[in-house]
Amino acid sequence: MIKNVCILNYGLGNILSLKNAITHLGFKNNFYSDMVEKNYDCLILPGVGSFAKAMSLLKGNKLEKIIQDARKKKILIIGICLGMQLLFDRGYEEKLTNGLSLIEGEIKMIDKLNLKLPHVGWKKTQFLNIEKNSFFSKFENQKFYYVHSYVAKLNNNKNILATAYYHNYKFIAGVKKENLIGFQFHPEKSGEVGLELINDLFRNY
Amino acid sequence: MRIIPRIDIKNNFVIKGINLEGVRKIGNPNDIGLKYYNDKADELIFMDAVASLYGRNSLFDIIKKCTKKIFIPITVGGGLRSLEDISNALGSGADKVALNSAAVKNPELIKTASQTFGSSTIVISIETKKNQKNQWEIFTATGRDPTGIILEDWIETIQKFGCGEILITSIDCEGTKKGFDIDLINLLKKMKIKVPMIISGGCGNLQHIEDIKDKLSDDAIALGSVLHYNLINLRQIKDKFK
Repeated sequence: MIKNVCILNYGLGNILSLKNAITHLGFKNNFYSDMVEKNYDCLILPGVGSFAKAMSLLKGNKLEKIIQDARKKKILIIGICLGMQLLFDRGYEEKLTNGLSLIEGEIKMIDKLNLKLPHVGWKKTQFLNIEKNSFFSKFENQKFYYVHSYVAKLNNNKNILATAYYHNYKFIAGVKKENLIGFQFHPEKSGEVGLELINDLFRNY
Repeated sequence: MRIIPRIDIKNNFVIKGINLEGVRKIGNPNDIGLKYYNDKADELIFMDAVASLYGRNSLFDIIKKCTKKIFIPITVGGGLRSLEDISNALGSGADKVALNSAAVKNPELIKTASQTFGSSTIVISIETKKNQKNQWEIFTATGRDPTGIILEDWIETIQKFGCGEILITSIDCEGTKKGFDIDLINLLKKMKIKVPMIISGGCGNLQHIEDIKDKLSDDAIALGSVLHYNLINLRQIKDKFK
């Protein structure tokens, strides 16, 4: 059970709704910059903006060290949308940029002609590589809210946690590796189902 | 198809007009937003209906309060003029911002805003109607000011500058409940626009949605009067148009 959540507030965009969602569920949480006691047991990388811009704000400074430390301490790390994408080796948004290299693979633009970009909408999501009694199975084919133009291409299929379709284009909707979990969708923007997913994740860790 | 209630606000009240004019008070924005959230709206749009006329935005406090209880994407628009305004809107809990007048005045703002906040955050709001030359023309200041800009040119420009979504309101249909602007939608379909659209203005019953649903693929419709006056229930729409 997670007791204290740290939201890494780097860069720009709306991170307040993530905080509101976690507060609404009754979990103690704070932005990293506002935290006095840094004894958190869950670190969230939210994400709005571009891969290149986000990495330029993280790379080589304190924020990157916080993530790497959490990784070593086996603290639950959750990446959401761009926050998930940053966990990979590299991204091609704006320009080729190195990521945090915590999961093997890269982030590429949705490469299907005639699909509108960004991909915006609620999509049924399939969970895989999960244990039989995992709480994730409860969310099989539930709809979550997506907004993105880039997708993860993984080297190791074992790290896939979820997939979804944009028309007939299948893409990675979730990833996992040891203490890392990433969602391409926004659970904090996916209504009651999204809140339930966050709640279950925190209670079962 | 995404179904998005559109909540127009003036002086802390939800209001609704016809052809973007002559407004009537509907109720409290928090209560109405929460009701639509509970009725399974896909997203919400909050528009300050008078902000761009007076150059101010009073929406931020309302958004701050709403987003404590509403966990779906929220677009905020009306009177946003600068990167700082956008930053304040996002800081209040908005996920996307809708720009109209400011983008028309300075299209470069679309570029800098989408580079700074991500293009999916930047919605360009377009208000349009046919002018005397039978061209679709862009208007600003809630349908009051003609700009001389032609719709097709403007849509090309804003896509080039990196907008992530287009909210398009037919001024002639807005608030009439007589159906969406089919001419306009046919034109948009022909244009093969590369970003998702939100079609706004005119819906009065379920048949009106049925009439256009095959013309929209990854797009959305914005609903005002039809929901505010309880002509149809949001859940009914969601059940019919999954």
